[in-house]
Amino acid sequence: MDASEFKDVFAAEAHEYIQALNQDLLRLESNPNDRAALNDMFRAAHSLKGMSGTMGYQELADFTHQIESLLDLLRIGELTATESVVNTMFSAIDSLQNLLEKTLLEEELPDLEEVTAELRHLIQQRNNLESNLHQQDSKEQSTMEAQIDIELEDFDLEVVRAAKKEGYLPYKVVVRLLPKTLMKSVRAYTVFQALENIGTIIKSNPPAQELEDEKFDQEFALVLLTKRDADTVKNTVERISEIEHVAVLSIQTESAESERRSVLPRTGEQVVNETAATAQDLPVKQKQSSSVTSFSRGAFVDRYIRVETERLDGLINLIGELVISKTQVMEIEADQLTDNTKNALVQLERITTELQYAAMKLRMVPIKQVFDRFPRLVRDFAQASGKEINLEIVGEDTELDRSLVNQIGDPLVHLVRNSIDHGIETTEKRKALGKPAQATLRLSAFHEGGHVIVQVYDDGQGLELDRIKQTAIEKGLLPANFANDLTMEQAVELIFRPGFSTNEAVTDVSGRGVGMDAVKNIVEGLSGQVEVESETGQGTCVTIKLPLTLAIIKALLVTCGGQVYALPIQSVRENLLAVESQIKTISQQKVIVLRDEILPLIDLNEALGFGQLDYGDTLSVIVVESQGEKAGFVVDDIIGQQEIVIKSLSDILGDIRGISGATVLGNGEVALILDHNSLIKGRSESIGQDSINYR
Amino acid sequence: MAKTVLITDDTAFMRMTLRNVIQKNGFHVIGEAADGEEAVSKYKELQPDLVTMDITMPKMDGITAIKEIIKYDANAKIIVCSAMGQKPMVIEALNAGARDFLVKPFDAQRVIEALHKASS
Repeated sequence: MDASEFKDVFAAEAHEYIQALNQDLLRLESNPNDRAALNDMFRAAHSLKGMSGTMGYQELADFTHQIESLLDLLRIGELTATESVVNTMFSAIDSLQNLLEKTLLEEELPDLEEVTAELRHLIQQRNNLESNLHQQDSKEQSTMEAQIDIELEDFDLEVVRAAKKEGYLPYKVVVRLLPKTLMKSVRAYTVFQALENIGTIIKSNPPAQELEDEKFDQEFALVLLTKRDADTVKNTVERISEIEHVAVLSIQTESAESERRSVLPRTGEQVVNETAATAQDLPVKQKQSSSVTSFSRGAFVDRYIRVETERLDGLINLIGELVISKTQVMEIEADQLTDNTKNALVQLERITTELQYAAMKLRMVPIKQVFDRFPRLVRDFAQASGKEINLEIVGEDTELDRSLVNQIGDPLVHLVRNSIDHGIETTEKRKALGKPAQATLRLSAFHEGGHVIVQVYDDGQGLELDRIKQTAIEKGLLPANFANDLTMEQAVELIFRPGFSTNEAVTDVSGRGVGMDAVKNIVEGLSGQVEVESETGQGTCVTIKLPLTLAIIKALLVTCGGQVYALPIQSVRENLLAVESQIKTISQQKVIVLRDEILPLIDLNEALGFGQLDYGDTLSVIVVESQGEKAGFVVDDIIGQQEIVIKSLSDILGDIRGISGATVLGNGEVALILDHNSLIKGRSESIGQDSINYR
Repeated sequence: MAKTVLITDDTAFMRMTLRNVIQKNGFHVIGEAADGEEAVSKYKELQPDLVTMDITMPKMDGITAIKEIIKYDANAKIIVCSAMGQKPMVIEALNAGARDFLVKPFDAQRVIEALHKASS
């Protein structure tokens, strides 16, 4: 059967599993005895192996199998998660990721011999050990058939006792599915459904949520209260397909209490209607207690659906159109309308706005998706650079538009690399300075106003002013005779310049040709801003400020040369009418003096190539700010504020300087959205050099 | 007497595959339907012992068809056929009254097991 139609789902899930493996391995590294982490990893590897096999990706399945085998040894305690084991696992997971990408792209598969050999070596080690200990360890032989047990808490025992008074009998039901069962969770659901018909299920192991997420191997156990006898219970389950084995055991509450509350005390247990040979081992295995939650059937119905992002984008686009036609309706002169119509319109406006926010929320995803890769990354960087770093992650539940999430990852990686490479000192140096040996690196995210703020903070040495100055001189960014010490502000300004990188040697961690200017470009491309605050010896904090969403923005509409343009409102500081006397010319550049500030004036008409405006007595000037630089845009007229839906032009026309997109206005007219960043930048650079004429 | 089966699937290929498996194992394929509407009307017409029901189909989807058939005959024995990734739909179908489910790609033995279990 051709599985190619499932490839997308496979890819998404496989990536999730690899991510989970990485996360859990970090947990394991910090606590080598973390059984829960090991079990999670084992399950992830197991599922991935199964999925890969179904897809026919044999290499992927085989390699995952190696990882799974090693995890199994760790899980059952035959191997200890020493540093070298963990490191091997890390490189194995990297190889796995690589193999997955290549498999998905149908490219040539990487050579995994080295890492496979390492895995085999570790597995072998245990085998040697085992053959030595073979005699005394014979009772562990049947470990592979680990049986699931289930424990009752005080609360459950209360329930059981109460139910017994009502004539209900408590049973433990252990169900094993056939090895190749597909949709195990749904199969488990049919078991629950069938049993709920004859009784009440009060517990399950694994818990319902994990059953639902298919986080179980082939077995699960549950506690059933019913008035029927054990045979009926057993028959009920056996009538369901894909069940390899069912065991129904009555629960003895009294002895259970005396025996550490195990549902399956070794004595006093009554094996009912048992057919399979494994029945005798039932209660012995699975020593670690697993958390079990009470179960209601509602928990099984999926609370999430997966939707193609294309469909969501389609919805957002339609809502955008709706917002536009709402605006169109609202523009009808108020005196032409009856009160009823006006009320209805107010209602329409309110609902449209709410709909718009609701739709935008659909696109929002937690920034966790990006942050999740950092623990691993920081660990690797820290190890490579020999620095001790404690990574703190704050606000990973903060939500932002998924298109932003996709694009913010790379800049963040770069900032984190910078912090580790340039900011954080070596352990010796920190000790000498009296700082804690372990440096703190903090990634945080939170909402502020209509923005999402993402910060990368480190308690390192701050920007190195001398080195920045020296590099700037070498790179020709400062004159060779620049004598003064740099101020922090100047240093910050310099590191954002294209082509600046303080690192002489290209290290493994940083300095891969991406500088702060690249970070800045990406963030500004997302209508965001980057700020750097740094204090020598104290640390550095880089703040990225992003809009919540890119799809719909508030804009100020202006006219210029008979055309309507939109300016993103977040960049507009104020509007004013300037009289001729306020306008001065400095170095052939027209400027306006505003409250002791000199702002360059940009004639929009001219900047867009339509020839110069005819300046009358007064000028409409819009003060716009871009990365701390202000400028006055001269326009013909100001229309007002409006919400606009951004439509990209770059697919059709490529990038045009000064224009970032287009929108359709309420009256159906098309307005271009101005890219204030590039308009101001082009201008202020020329002012800085004092040489280019204001034509 | 052999139990009768109504096969519902919108692709002729899948109907053919299923018919092949089912006929070879002692069941009698009494009819085929290519969408939910047809399945409902054929169920009423042919009164089959068992129905296999695809989920995603034109005109009327499998889940609606299951509901319609159960409304007509509460004891109808329907086995829902799904693709991977249709978990929520399978659960909906089971809640609507389907007796069992099969996941594509089909395993012949599984198909027969499901038919036997549903008809017993």
